Amino acid sequence: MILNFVDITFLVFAFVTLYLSLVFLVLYFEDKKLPKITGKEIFPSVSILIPAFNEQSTIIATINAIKKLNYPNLKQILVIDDGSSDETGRLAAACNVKVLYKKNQGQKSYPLNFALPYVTSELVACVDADSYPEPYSLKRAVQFFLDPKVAAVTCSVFVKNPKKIIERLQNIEYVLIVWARKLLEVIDSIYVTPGALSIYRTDVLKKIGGFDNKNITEDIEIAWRLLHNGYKIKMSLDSIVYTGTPRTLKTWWEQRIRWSIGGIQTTLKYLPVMLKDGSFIKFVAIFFTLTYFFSVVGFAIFVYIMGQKIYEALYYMIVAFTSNTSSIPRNILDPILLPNTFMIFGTIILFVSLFWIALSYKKTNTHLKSLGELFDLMVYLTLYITVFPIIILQGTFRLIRNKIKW
Amino acid sequence: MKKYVLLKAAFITIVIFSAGILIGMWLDGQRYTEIKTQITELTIDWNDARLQSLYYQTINGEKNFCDSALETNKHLAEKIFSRGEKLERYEEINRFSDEVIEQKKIYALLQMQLWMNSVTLKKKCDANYTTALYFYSHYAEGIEEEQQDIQSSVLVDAIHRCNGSLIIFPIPIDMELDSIDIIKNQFGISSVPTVLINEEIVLNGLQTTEMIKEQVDC
Repeated sequence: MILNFVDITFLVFAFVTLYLSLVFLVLYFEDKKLPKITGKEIFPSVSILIPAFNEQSTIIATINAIKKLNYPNLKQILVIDDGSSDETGRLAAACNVKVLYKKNQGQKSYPLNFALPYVTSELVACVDADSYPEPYSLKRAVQFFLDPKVAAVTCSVFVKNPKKIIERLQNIEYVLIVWARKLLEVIDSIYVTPGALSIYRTDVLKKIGGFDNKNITEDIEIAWRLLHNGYKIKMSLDSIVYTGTPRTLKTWWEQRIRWSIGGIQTTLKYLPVMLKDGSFIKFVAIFFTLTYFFSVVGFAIFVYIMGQKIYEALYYMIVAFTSNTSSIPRNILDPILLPNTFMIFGTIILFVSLFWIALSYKKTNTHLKSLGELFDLMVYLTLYITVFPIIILQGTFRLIRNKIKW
Repeated sequence: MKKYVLLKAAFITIVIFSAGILIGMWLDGQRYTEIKTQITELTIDWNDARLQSLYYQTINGEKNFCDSALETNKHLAEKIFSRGEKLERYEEINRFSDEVIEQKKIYALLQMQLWMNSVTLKKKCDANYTTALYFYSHYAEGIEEEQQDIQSSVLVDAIHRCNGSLIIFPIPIDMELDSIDIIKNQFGISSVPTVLINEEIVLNGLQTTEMIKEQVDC
């Protein structure tokens, strides 16, 4: 054996990446076997909570989208003006919905918990103030509550009018997440109930104490807590909601740092508990931990190898040029012409990823309509996902230094 | 259900992973076999050339000895050099078969023997060609490895430019072979890359095309 440390690290990384990819692939085939919802439709009473902080540009459209919901038992729409300094509250009130006013305390969990005592319906749907559910979304989602163990239902979240490159890249990511969430449902491991549109059983939500004010991502924490308490979370693939996403790199970065911190906070909170009782979503915790760890490790390997290769290639080109010989190394194509184990695993992972993307697109009825979208996909696969480990690292450092801001 | 899915995925992963490793090992093995076959072929060629030489010197009374021996030597040198390039490439790619190192030792010894033969013939037949030993490290990494690659490229250019009047023998200095160590000690070679031209001139460090041209007249 002449494997060095980097080789062995790569092999471990390849194994874990392959395993996580194959878990989803197996889930896909298992999902096909699962019984689908049939029988009589149910229409439990639903209240809708819209926490809003300085959302004057979107709140009316959101309320209008909710008013267009094709649902016969919508009990109330509650907008919680979370101390906005703009016209959010006044505009919402003008739409003939109930508006609750409160002082801003930072996290979104505060306005949600603030409104919870006002909810008397069987179900409560939380909708972000810049999200727009499709008319049939609620009706389809509530059908999952036929199962009494189901405490929450999540929906397919897509980006509203993705125009800028950063929005288009996020839309690709959302498509992949939607499909992944649907598959995680098979093993009761949906790890987030997105704020764009998620529906909860009111009594369960109140019983477990509402949203966690200490967690920066209340939608991740509540999902883990529901699962921890033995409830199920379902994913309604056909319930679509469009949402506004960061439009600049800076706001996107800050949002991802926040998600990363929330994810770490939640993992740290539940991992010890899970390892102790062994009863619930171990996979979610392990999946999260491995993803965090290996994305950072993978990134480190990538940076190390690429950095070394680039440095050596530049050195070669410059020195070979000054030595008056060919600046192109004679063995430049050897990794392709002479495949070895590393090449094989790299190729397998690439194809599994491409297959996964194709499947996600198919299942969410997303289509590549132009070469530009193919280009976006390439950017997503190369640049976009490469940045995540940096975000995780920065999020971790910020968490350690306790610099958390909404 | 959960356990079943996770175990099923684990099983498939182990199967694919093992298959990947096995295919990698098989490819390494194929390359190793190819190297071994070629080294054996070179060893046969070398022994054949030696016997020819011996025959001409003993039985045939040295008649036509030089022409034939020089031609065989040149042909063999070219063949060994090109096989050496392949050996280096395979060695770089292979991860599971360190037996390649054994073949490299045999190869290094063949190079040494051929070099000795070339030097002997040069003197004996008054031939007009330059012999050079190119010392490099088998275990070089990073910038040192890049320097060696550049040096190889410069030397290959020189071989092509000289069109047969320059014979170069790449010798790994760190293969723990006594015959190489003797030469290293005699010429004070302690760093790589180093080029020894005509058993006299020692050029330490990376040599550019111009530097080689200054020393090799062809």
